[in-house]
Amino acid sequence: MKRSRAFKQRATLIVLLLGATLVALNALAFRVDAGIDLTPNYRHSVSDDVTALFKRFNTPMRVEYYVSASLPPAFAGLEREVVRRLSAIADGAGADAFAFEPSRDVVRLDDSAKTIETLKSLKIPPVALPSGAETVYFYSALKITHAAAREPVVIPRILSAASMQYDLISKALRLSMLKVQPATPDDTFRGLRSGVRFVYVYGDMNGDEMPSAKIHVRDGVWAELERIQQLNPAYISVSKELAGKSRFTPRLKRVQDITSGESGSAPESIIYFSSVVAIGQFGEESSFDQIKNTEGLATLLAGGAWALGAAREKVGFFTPSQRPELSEPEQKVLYSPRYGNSMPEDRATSISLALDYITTGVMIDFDHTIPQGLGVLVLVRPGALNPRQLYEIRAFLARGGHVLLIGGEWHTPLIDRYFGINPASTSLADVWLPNQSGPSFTLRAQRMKETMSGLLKDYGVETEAGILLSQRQSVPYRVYGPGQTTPGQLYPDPIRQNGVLGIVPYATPTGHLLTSDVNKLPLRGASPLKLDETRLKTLGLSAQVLFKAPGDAELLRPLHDTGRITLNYRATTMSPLDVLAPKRDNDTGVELVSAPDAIVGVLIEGQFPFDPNEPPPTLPDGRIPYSPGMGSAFTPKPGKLVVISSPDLFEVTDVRGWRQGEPPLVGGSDQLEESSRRRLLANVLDAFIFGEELVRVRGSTTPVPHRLDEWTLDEIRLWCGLVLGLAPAAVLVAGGIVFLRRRKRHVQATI
Amino acid sequence: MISVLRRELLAFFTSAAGYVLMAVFPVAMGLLALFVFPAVLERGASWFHTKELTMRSFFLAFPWVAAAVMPAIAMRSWAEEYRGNTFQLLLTLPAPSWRLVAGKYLASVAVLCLMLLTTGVFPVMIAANGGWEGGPIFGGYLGCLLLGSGYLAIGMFASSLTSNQLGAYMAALLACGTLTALGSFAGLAGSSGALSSMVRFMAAGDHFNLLAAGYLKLETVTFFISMAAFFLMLTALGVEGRRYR
Repeated sequence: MKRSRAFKQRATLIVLLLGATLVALNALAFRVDAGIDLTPNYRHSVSDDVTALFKRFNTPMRVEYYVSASLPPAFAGLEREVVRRLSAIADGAGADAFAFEPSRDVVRLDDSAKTIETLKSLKIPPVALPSGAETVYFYSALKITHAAAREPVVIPRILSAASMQYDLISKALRLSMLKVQPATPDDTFRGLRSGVRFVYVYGDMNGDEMPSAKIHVRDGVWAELERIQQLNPAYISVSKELAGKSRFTPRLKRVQDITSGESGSAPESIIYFSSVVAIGQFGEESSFDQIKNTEGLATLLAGGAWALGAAREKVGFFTPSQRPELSEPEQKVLYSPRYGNSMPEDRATSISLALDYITTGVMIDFDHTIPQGLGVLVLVRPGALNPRQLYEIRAFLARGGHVLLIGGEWHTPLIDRYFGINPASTSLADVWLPNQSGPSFTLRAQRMKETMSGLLKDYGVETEAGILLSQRQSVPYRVYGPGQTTPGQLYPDPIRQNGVLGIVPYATPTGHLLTSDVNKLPLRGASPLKLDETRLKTLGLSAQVLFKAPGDAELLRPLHDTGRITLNYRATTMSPLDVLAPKRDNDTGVELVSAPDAIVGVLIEGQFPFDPNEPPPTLPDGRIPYSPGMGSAFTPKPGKLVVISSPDLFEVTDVRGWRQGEPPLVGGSDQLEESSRRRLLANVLDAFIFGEELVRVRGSTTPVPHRLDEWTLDEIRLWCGLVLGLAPAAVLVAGGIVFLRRRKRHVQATI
Repeated sequence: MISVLRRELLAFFTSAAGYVLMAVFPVAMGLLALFVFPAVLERGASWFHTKELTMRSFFLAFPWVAAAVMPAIAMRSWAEEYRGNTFQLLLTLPAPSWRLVAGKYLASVAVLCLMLLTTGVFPVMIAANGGWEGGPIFGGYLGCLLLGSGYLAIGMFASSLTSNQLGAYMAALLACGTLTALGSFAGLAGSSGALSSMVRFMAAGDHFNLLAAGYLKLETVTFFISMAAFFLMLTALGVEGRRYR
């Protein structure tokens, strides 16, 4: 008994000691937070480039970090992971540029003031939707802003704690934040852009049947909406002003007044924005009754327009004053609103540019020349230029001018007959077909008379069907839905894999958009641009191709990960991915020229050919040109030519001819378009013309490698057989042998 | 210790149940990884449809399978000795209890290693299709080993408490299942506070996931080693305690 008691005491002591030691060890390990990133390219670590980037900032950054009160189980470690990531960045950047206090739920950091302001901890419970069947979750948002950014930029990838978490996070943060009832828009919905859209509008203009009015949009949710807006600026915008409002009533009332021209009763509407669920679930049986009335739609549209208009005020766009490194001539962007043919879009583009740059109208129709000392000439959809104008452009380029040619009409929407939705003008990432087995349909793109294609060809840029299209000559182009072009060869879109996003059916004049040579990736916004390498080489010009940015980055990431292209961050803006790729990269074997469908833009640099003694052509009206040519006054200098062949290149109607006689589909929402255009323009100008520094992102940004083509049935059978059958068979055979031997031994022993 | 280890291995591999268990394990893992988990995660798709060339689903499945299988391996370690009255014989061996425990435990870990080996076709399949990522796969298997070892220790402890194998199995299953599922229910404990931190710390599944993602953290390794050490110590004490009964 005594021994037993002594043992019990000793055992208790040992257990306590061991327990305490282990707890201490674990606490220490937890505190040290040391780890080895085993992934190729150090996926879970902050890249040197990013850290260096933060170090270069001479103004402080602000970090806001939100986590909802009740995270779903899969996100249990999210908060800590976010903190770890931020701490890693902070360590890399140094306290001068970035500071982070990890012990707070929500922090705001402001180095300039040398203070760390701790905000009230944000706890956002799930919000029940009116039906009670769905739950709105707000998971988390990490917003990093910097003065150099055009707008607050979220770096969601920082959140990727682990590969498996990444998928969950991206799905949750980017796509599934709001779980809403499946909804199908009816015809009245076609005015909205696709992608991020108003998913759930519970609107009753009289406010009598508004259970959802009780739902408050909380700050954190709002932050998340902002983040989505940043990812999809073309579709959605939100205003922080709304963050404190529990209802939209006052604003919507105002919007309604503007829209309808009469002041009625204040509508009470709850608007949920989502990039998401609607995308995955459109096409299924559902209803969108709430917005079937035109009033509701008008409110919806106007609400979006208003929200974006308000958001513009808070967005810190680049202005020349924030660009001290640029000399005065470089800041000056010339814009030609009457270049060849007059279009209302030109005016809009001009206004848009004027917001960011010093712009000047150039009327070379009348002046017959491009003034000296100007930085960039922007040509927006320059119809049929006469020989004299082309001559001026050639001379301008040859004397070091920068030309930005936007080859499409900015306002032109694409419509598909399933949803009547318009794509973005800066990114096509969010246009999709919900029914993958549905029939393909026909869009009509029409060519427009133009003369730039000839000049571009001379510079080594081939445009196949021409750089411009118009409504005049209707040419049908077959557009394919996902899986309809070359079944089994489409590249897996990681987002689509999650069942949320589909693939975009965009037309190209060659009609094979979805059969891009690059891994069969259904790149969107494809254009007929091709580079004539021989010609470029002959002229001594270099070329760089441009993909759509930023939304297509998601689709392009698999290519990036497989080393086919290179994604770059904009160093000074940290805007979402600009997707740039060298024309040919010997290191990575990139040969993007072989994938013309993927190219939506090209930058040609170098000394453009021009004979200074070439006499200028006669003016169209037969008058003798006032200038006999450049002669000895001409000083050759390397120039830049950027050609953007956007999806807006196409003037499109659907099979029902919706386009004809209709007002602009995003009627009343000019800001939506403008924001979109402005962003693309500014990005292109800054990156290509002004040569903003690019930061190369580490090779592998996706968490998972993918197989590029579909598994064949034979392969599936083979590998299933091997995985499920090989080892068990081997084990059973081994077991059988052992038993047989034992039995034999047993028999021998018996004998 | 070596002789105990050898004896345990021999006992395992001369029983039909051992082979059946070893044959069932890769099948279960394969089915879960190729069909069940992708279907849950990817809305109805199989692993092949996702086109992901990773072992994500495999490693997601492992903690659950381990929670069921590891107790089965460990359940007989002591309960069988008690039941068959061979325990007293064991005690007569000129070795302290902890050596007996270590021997049995190492034998179980060896079985675990062999079981993991039977799933080797999966990474081969990935490599053959160009998706080899050594880090995450290595991390994942290391995680399997650590998690499995921890669960084996729990199973062994449960086995040391009773002569009823089924009872030991159920107790260990409950404990391992709880540790695996803990991460999923961590939200119930709130997002901050001591309880929440504790719950999240104890979530073996979450620790494992980090390893499976290719991030080898000191904290994770420490956690699993601590878990194994703690339960092995408890087992040793339990066994030692029987000497005094």
